[in-house]
Amino acid sequence: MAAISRAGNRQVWLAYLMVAPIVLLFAGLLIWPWLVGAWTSLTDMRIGRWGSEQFVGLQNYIAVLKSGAFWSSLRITAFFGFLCVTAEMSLGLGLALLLNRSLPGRSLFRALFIVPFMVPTVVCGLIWRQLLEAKGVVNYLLSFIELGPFPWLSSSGTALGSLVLIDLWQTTPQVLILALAALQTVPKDTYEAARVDGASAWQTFWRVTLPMIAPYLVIAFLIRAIELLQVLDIVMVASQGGPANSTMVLHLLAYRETFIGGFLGYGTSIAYLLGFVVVLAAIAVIRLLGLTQPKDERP
Amino acid sequence: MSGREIPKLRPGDALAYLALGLWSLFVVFPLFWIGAMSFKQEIDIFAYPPKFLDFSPTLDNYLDVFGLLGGEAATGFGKYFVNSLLIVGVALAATVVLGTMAAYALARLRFPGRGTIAFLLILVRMVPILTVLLPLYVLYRNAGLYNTYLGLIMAYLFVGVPFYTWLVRGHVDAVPIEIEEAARIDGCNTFQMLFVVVVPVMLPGIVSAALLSSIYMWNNFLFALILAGPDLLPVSTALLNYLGYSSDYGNLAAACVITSAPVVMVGFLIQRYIVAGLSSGAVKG
Repeated sequence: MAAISRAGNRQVWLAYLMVAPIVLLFAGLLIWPWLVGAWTSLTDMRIGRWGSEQFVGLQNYIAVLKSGAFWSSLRITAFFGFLCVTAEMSLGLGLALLLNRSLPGRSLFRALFIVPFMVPTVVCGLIWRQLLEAKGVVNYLLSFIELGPFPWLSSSGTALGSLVLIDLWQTTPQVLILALAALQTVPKDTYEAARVDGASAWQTFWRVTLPMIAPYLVIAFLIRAIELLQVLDIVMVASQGGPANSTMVLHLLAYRETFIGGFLGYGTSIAYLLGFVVVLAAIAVIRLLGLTQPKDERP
Repeated sequence: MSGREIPKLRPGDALAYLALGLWSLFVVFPLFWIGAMSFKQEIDIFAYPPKFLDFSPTLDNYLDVFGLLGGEAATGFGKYFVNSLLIVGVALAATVVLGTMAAYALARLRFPGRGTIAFLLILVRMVPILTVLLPLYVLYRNAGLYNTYLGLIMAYLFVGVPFYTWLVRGHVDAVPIEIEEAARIDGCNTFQMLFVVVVPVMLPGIVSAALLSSIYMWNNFLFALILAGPDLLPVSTALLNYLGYSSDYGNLAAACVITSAPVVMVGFLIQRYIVAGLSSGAVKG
């Protein structure tokens, strides 16, 4: 704190100089587009008919909220998010617990497990489209244990489940890493103490480990929930929302109304409805976690 | 029990290895499959039952993807690869310069608006990206930035800067303040302080944060899909557009390998950092 009084105004001026480029970036590429988008969503702007848009007030929003496609997308998004976050959290935590044991070779496993996180989403989607083809290798392998063949991504009954599988492959590492970091905050003596007291591994997990890492798991859950609410890229690559709109998540609906339908104003209003929900949730999470508090002001 | 002894295997460990092994298979098999496919001839790709290792490998798919066989796919994937290098390269350089300065100011200096900027840094990583990209599409069209390298590079800053700045702010926090106090007494001004004193100390952190940001930029396909035309596409977008709906699976597989190879290699180099970096946002704040 002494630094302030010593350097005074000069330092404030310098600070502004140093953050000026990213402030301009935010202004030009975030705030300004948001304002433009707010306007766009209140017009009937269409791609290819530039300059002829009319102000239509809240009509787009009303039309969106009255459309069956929106509510069906909302249901699909919620269902998909719920399935993914549940499966990711259980698997991520389970694998983290295994990696937290002092097993020889665990760093090798850890290195291996985070590879899918680095693979580009486009590639991930293309790989799985290959694997899950009707006469693909997954159905072939499953035939040995008398399962399938499943239609996977090509049937509206199984497409969403297939997407969950793909999401698990790609994003479980993220939860795994968070859970592993959380587990490493638990002091080793705690386990020792529990063992001395005669607790079984099962009891130790439920009574000691879980309560200690619960706050971190809540954070991982919230981050993933917010990300899944706006899932877009993997769905775009793997299923394009089909078949029969069975995987049409909200964010993708906004994209398709805009670029396939050409209704820029309408598409933007869908994105804004989604954005409104996500931003409220995100602000709540950021505030709740105190993420923006500088280090020296934290308790 | 001393903590340093060689870990002894316990009864549950066999089960643990079994579970870890199964998950490894789940992780590796898709990668193995696309890798193998990229070396297969068409007849082996469509063979049923599928061929795992019993095929005669060929490099044709790779040659064809780069347009060296003069085939139909000779749009030349090499062009997109160069686009990616150019866009990610320039955007990354700008990210490092701008982000490092901002990170230092946010970590060390006190000024009004500091909290708001830190808040925006996290918020942009959480908003649905179309709320930004759809209006940006309109703005770019009006400003003549649509389908230009400049426009794309500016937009890519948006992928890299918030993430990079956030990570490096953490590294500045970790530099002992005493070093700076000593330098201040020696007459360093703030810019000298940053570039001569602080940056060298946290160089490993800067390099890792930059590489991690470059993975995000390289993998991004949505920005170019919306903001650029066919000629300027980076590999990820080109892969989606041109090969994603093609039935030439061999080429597709080769293109997948080429697109993934740089990021997976970089990722391996910094895997420890990825583990620390991904958790720092959530666990340490």
